[in-house]
Amino acid sequence: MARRTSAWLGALMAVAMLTLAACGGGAAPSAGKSEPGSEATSEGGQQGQVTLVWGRGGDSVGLDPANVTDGESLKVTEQIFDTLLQFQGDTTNVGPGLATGCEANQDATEWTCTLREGVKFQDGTPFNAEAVKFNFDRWMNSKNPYRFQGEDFGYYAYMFGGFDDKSVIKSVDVIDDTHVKFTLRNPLAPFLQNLAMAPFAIASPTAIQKYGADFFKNPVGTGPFKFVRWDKDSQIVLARNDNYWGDPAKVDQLVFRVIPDNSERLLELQSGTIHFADGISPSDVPTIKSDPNLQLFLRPANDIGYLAFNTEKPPFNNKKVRQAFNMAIDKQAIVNAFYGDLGQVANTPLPPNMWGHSNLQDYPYDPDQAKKLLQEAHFDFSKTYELWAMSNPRPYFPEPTKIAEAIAQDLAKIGVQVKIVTFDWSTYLSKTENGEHTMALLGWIGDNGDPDNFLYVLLDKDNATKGSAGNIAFYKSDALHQLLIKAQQTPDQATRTQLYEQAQQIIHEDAPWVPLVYAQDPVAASAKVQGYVPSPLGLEQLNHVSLSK
Amino acid sequence: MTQYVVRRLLLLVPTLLGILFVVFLALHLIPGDPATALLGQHATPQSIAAIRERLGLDKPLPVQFLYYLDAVAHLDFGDSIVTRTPVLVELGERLPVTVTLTVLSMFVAVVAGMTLGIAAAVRRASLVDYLGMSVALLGVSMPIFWLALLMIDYLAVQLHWFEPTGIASVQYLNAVPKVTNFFLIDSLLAGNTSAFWNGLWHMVMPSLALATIPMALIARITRSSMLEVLGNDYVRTAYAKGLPGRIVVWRHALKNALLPVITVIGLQFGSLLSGAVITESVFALPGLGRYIVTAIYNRDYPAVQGAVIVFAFLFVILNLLVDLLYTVVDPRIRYD
Repeated sequence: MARRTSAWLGALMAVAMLTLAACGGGAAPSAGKSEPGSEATSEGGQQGQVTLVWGRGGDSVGLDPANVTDGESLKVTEQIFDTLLQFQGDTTNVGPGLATGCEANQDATEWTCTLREGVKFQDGTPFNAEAVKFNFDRWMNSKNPYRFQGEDFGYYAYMFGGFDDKSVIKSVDVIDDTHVKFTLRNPLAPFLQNLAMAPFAIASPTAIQKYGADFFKNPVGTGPFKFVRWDKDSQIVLARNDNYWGDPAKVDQLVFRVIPDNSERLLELQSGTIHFADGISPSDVPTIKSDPNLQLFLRPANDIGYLAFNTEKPPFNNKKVRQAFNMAIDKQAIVNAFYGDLGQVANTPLPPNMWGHSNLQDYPYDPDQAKKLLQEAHFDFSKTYELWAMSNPRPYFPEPTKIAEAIAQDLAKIGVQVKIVTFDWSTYLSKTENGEHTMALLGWIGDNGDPDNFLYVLLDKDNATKGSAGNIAFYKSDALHQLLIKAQQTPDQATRTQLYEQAQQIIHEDAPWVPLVYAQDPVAASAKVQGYVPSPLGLEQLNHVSLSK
Repeated sequence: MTQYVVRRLLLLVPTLLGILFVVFLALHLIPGDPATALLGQHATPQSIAAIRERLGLDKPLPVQFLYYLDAVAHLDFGDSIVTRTPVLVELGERLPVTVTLTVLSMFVAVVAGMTLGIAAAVRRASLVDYLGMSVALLGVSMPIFWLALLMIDYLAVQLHWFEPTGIASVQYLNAVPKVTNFFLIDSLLAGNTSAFWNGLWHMVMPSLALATIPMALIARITRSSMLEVLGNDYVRTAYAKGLPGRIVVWRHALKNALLPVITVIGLQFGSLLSGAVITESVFALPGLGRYIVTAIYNRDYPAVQGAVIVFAFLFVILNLLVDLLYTVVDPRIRYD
């Protein structure tokens, strides 16, 4: 009996192998002919369909924009949903979206938005003031019945101060079908910029009620593309929304494909199986530029890569030491070596294209002066200081550990010994937000095109709480705080610009950071792609993109 | 025999428990936590606290472990922290890809490796031997990701024989409804043979890349084991009584040389599973290996634990199958 069982198992395995042999031996059709952009004529696909394929490094987490914070999710929801206001083209200026405009009262505590008429969600539900209220109520009230297990609404809490009593938006009221009123607890200068952010897109109330906790797998919005299917870690398929209120999409299908490896993604682009590839390494830029079948787009810089000093720990609690380090690092050399055309030396925390950016005179690269300052500050040259760097590339730091090496070499020239310490991204964030570092490289990508989103988030004392600090320099300046809070409550942009200029001057003087670089994010595309405009925010609707033959 | 199998299966329980414990501990000991991974730089003190409470991370570790054990005992591996989908569902979507890849690679490795090994042994110290063993050496030494990159660049981008990555072309993927999550099987169920061939064609490069190391090892073991057997008296006798060389090699020698080869094949299944992590990333295959890497980065505890259990389970079962296969090849071995 024992013998027989084992014989059976053996036979089974043999059969399995033979079946595979039969499959493997057959002649397979050449794969070269199946280009996605060409007219697909397979049994499954419909005749003459044009499919646009976007290749990226990771999969989306969820497709309910209000419940994600990662770019890979928002990149897709941006196609399915619309926001009340929209960022325009390659700027962070705000223009009409689902709302044609918004008006404020005298002290900017009440905003009334006029909504576009005749718009319908992809499931046929009419878009109106009720739908807007339904969405905002779900985001801001922690007891709302349409919040489901596991939904965190992290971005809402982040941009609007929190939920319930902490939410800056006190109430959302329906005036009539096409008018909705937002009442704020206090003025919030970037309010309109926030309304244009991808996470605050308006979803179909009917669909949220219907799918409940599964809405993030069955997204329904008003956008130019509607959701078709999601193969985890592989692809997300969208189809044109024929009833779109704006310019209808120029392609029939839009596919987001996951190709984790940067080099493979570029190879796919070269072989013509995808039309866009993002997450391009700066070292691949020359290859793309020299290939006549490809084109390169650069997103206007909307980020900052910096070196933060932990100002609570010696020796960096001494301003002179921080200023000296600012003079000791040759930023231009770093940009030349690691960024090529994609980077620009930073002089303040604000990116150069953003309104409010100050042209203040940066610290010169002057190792001698730096050394003198350190001696004045009685700096201890016998110690070794830790410099932290994340182990994986970030958009603002394509090669973080090598950049750290370059900084270490600059510091060695003035006699400062540095040891480089690395952690993976998640650990790195936990530890720096907890203030365990003395010097750390970090960066920030802007959310809404407003200076507040850089200066307040990264340098105000309100955000220097250990455990979740955005201000990892733990820099606490009352003078700066007053300016930033005043700017938050001032609706007038000209006045705010002045306030931010002063703020940048204070930051420059106190030197909690070495602002290093503004990096441009490259997007590679097939030469067939037409009508693509890269947004500085990293997200754009692709309805204007077409493919030439 | 049945008793033996039952005993081995029962041993699975403490093995898996031990693995669970180690993985749980390792995951919680490495720095970083899911709340930060989830919120990234957009964390506020309140949002971090809320997430930690929701995930039960605010409770002491032993309590968390007991809760987890209780859930696993009910075959509930929890929900992925990041995607909020049950881990079992997510594993069910990825496992078929890894199984397809592993089985195809093993097939390639066994057929090619044994053929090379036998040929090298029979024609010892000939050109075939030297060439075969050089190929084997190259196979062991070449890093998978490098080989994969070369293959994609030459075979796909330059020669256009294959599509570079993915489990099938976009239009075929969309045309096949998911039933078993095995694309090759689903395409046959849907009666879409061109989708089937397209899918199989996509697996050729990944399978070849993943097969190189086990193929090389199998070739070398087959060669040395065959050489040993071919030197035996009974082989000489077989030749002496006038049997054709083909019969001597395949029926008399190979059967006796197989035992160490099977051991290596069994062990190589384990290395294939780990090699799948790299192969799946390079070839953009949505399998278990890539899933586990992403999950570790995100500190997605339930997802990592679930995936490791599945890997461990597969490995133990494969080892058991190998042990049972011994009795088929060598009737002198019995497990009574």
